[in-house]
Amino acid sequence: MISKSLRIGGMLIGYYRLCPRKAWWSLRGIAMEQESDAVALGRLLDESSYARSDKHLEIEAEAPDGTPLVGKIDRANLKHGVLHETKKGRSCEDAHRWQLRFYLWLLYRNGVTRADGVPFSGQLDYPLLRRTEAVFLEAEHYLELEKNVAAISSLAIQEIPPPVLTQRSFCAKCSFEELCFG
Amino acid sequence: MKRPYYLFSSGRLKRQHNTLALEKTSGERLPDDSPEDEGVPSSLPDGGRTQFPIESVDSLFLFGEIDINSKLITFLGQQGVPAFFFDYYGNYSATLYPRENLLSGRLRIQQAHHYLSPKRRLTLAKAFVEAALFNIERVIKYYQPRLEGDAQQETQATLQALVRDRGALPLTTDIFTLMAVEGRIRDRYYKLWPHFLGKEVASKFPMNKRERRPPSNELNALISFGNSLCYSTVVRQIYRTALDPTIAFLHEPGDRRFSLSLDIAEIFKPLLVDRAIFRLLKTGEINSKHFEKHLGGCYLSDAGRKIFVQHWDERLSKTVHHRALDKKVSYERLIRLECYKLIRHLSDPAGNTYQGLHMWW
Amino acid sequence: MPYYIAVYDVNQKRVGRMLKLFRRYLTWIQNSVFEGELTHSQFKSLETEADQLMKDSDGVIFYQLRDERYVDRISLGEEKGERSRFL
Repeated sequence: MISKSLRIGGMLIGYYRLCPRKAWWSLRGIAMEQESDAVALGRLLDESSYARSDKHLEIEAEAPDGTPLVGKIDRANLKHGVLHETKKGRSCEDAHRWQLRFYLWLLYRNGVTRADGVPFSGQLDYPLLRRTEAVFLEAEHYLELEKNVAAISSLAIQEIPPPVLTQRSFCAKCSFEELCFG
Repeated sequence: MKRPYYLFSSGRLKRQHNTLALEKTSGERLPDDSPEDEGVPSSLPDGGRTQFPIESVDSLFLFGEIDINSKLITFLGQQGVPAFFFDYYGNYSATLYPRENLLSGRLRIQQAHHYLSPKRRLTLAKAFVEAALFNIERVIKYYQPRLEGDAQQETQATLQALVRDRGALPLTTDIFTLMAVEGRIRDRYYKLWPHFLGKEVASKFPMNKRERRPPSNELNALISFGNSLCYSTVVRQIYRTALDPTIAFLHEPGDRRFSLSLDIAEIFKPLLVDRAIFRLLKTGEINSKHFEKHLGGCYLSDAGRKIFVQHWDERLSKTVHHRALDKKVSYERLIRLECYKLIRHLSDPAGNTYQGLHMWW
Repeated sequence: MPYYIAVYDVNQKRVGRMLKLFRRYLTWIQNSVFEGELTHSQFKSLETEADQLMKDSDGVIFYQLRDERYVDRISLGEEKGERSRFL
């Protein structure tokens, strides 16, 4: 059964890179309470920590294989060409970076750059840690994102969930832990 | 942190300044079913008012005569707070079940698929009965060493029958037989209760057989009340997951509105309801004065319900160590984990075959 | 679960709104004093909302305890608030 309504977003890319099983649950529309709590906290953090001058932005694009992609960006500073993503802590740093690279890729796919032609860049904000990290989209990332999108598309039509991660310690912080191991 | 709130007073529950307020009444409560009742509150609020923080409310259990309006219902819906209503006699009467925000269409289809396919349905139904019997066995084994003479022998015989029936479950080919097996074991199990309770308590509270509508004596009253609490506690856990509470496997969707709760409750009754009853009677916390007779039935009095519910609430927060999660988990959380296990089974029946909770402590 | 004791001292003009806000999250103990358990996100929302209400020399203090068990309550006189979940 092919899901016609599949639209791949940044959070799903992050999930997939962390744990394909988590992405599968999410594709099935299964959410965890703590997850929604954490998302609410993230939004609150973003709203309370930063000026309102930056804009929420929603971008749509298409992957090279035609899969519809969508990005909901916390804040975008259009003047300086920076996409921001606010996070609580650095526990899933790599997933956060890929989420942002995914958004940058959407702009790239749509041919959007700064007024002076320079491509957009990304910034991860950790207000609780008072830290930021710059994220760039390099040519080698395109192929990786393309592969991830293809993998998620086939995950979406997979009947049964992928196995749990072999590195169990990784799951201790995941909001889906009880669903997988309870 | 959200927790259940239990309202024993009568009065008006309302939304006030975006939180909840209970305006209590002090008059006598009239039976809900008296023929001359006009549907107005038995008595009016007399000014006593308690506000409590909505952010701390997981669910509401309304045992008093509570007046509500649509503003409150809308508010509880927005806040995702289910409310359980009990009638004058303490019988469960209704649930206010807010819009489900965690539902997953695909999972619901899987659930219906497992109900409609006789083989798949039977697999799950068996798992519920198997776990229920296992936990009954645990309760029996807990009391068995303290018994002597005839009591010991009778218990031993019941245990043997139970183990034999539990062992024969894989051969069962239909739900009806499954239900009958469970009923038969439960009847024999109830006959042992006087032994578990001890001579002194048992002489005051005889147990012949299970009689529900209406409960015929004190023990039946306690079982009925405890089972209602168990049912609603499971409903409120299911609500926090993507499961559809109306599609069950052992029970029929028509047995109760949230029939899945009946399935899961079977597993937890020995641990939560039966042991609560033994404890409350043995300590004398509940005694003869906590029962009332109405219309040929026996019911817990207001004071008795309150004692039961307080103990119930404490019991739910007791914890055990969960090996796979390597952390302490409360009894109530175990119900949630049971829902998750069911979701795993529905998503991957071959790889994650459901086995009901076996008390391991 | 973190347990909070919150006290505030705000201008008369804003006392009413502050009271309503705190009543949604915590149990009222006595004038301008509240207690209760909050998750991180609940605490964060309360903090944000309180912050938006505050002006001038208003002040709010949260005492955070790791768990309610660490609270030894010694109370003199009449207990005004209702902390029970059995009402």
